[in-house]
Amino acid sequence: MNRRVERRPSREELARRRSWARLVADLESHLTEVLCGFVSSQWLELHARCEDELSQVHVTIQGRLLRQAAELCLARDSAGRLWTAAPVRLDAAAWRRAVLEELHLALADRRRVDGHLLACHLMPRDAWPPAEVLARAARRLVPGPTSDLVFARTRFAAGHRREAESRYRAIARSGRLLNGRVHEAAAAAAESRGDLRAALEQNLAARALGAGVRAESAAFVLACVLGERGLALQLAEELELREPERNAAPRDHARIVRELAGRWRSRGITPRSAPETASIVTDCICSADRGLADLCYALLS
Amino acid sequence: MPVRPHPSATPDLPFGSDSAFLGVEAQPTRDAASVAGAPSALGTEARRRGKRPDWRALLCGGTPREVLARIVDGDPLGLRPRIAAALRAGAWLMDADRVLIRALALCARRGSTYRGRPPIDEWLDARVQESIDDLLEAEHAQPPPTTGAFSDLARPLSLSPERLRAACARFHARPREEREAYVRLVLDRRPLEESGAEPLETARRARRAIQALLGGEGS
Repeated sequence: MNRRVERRPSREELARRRSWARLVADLESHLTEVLCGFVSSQWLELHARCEDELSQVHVTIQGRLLRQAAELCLARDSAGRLWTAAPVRLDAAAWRRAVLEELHLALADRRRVDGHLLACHLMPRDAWPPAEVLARAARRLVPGPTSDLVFARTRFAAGHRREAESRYRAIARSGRLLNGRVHEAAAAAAESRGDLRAALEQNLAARALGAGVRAESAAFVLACVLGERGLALQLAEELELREPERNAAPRDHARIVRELAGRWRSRGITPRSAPETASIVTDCICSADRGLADLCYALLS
Repeated sequence: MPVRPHPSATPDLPFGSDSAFLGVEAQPTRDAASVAGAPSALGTEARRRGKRPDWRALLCGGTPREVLARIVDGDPLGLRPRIAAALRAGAWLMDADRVLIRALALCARRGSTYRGRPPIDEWLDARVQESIDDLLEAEHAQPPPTTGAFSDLARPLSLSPERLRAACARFHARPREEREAYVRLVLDRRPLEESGAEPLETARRARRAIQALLGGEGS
């Protein structure tokens, strides 16, 4: 029988081993305390999700800027104008500032920058890609009903009116737009086929569901075009009663009036004869002091 | 050496998976601020004292990614209660954690150019609203993540998370009055008599919202 007899370590040896074991245990506990927050998989997952979301935010902002670029193109194209769902707050200088900021921040974050957006930033507006191309790129970056609406409008402006109408109808049918904007899509479909009365009704429905100043402006203009005097006056007064919006952005209010009058002129609609009509319209266009009601009275009296 | 997860290492992201809808505010189970750096400690301290977040320390300087790293841990900007309030005010049935993640990313992106105007409270509310609007817009367009409140809620009820999400999307397309009526009568279980002058109309609105959720004629 082979028995291995281990020699008992000396007292010094035992003390040395004990001190090593204590040192290792101390180190282990300190390292656990220090490292625990940084190696937790949940902590890493949260940060990774936030980073992904930041990338998505960059993409969304770039898509929105492309959408606005398409709308800026459409604003210069009288063929693309509908009364309904008109963008009223587009400012090319502000847009350029926003693009510059986004490009700067996206590159600082080492995120991708869309080529169309970069092209629009670097080139003058006349050399931009067509509105349809920009709207398509925006739809790729930010798929959703708002991008679909802009794309449908660019198709309308490109002369594909039936296709635009069917696109508008599809958007309206899908019910994906909120706060009455689905009715705005239906109104745009009706207007693109020339049914202004149906467009007015849809805009009024959108207004009732809280679509805001866009639907109200569109309904106001359509009511004027259709000669619905009482309704136009009521809408004009409601638009003027939007005190917070007027106070917050008097220039925007003036821009709405200018836009409406500009569209009026581009459509070749002649105001009915009335004394001092021309001067009242000029006043409305040049300043926000004279309101929509004055314009409405002038045009419908 | 085996590294044991520290109790405080769990991110305090969730509102709590079972209370994520409608922004029902739940206290985080654990506080990640204790493992975070100075900004988080700053935010926790600010919250404890009921003060406004120190936006200069959190938002100023650096790229959006750097700002994001400062504001993720411990919710130093106090976004959670704002999200809860906004979801309740709008009667939205959304995954509050998802809104929080988007709001954090938006604050990081927009915060790098924020210079104190409008006031920080107003600015943060606007970012929360922007997050909600973004997610509502993308609701139909993009497939939802497989994890999150929808799957957590759907699984015990033997429902499909995708169908639950689609039902909520239909609900969101209803007018606000209908959504509010549904929340008041069904989720909050408030009696019909408290519905003001038009209890019958409130009940009808709630019914239309339920039909939208069920995918019926109201949708």
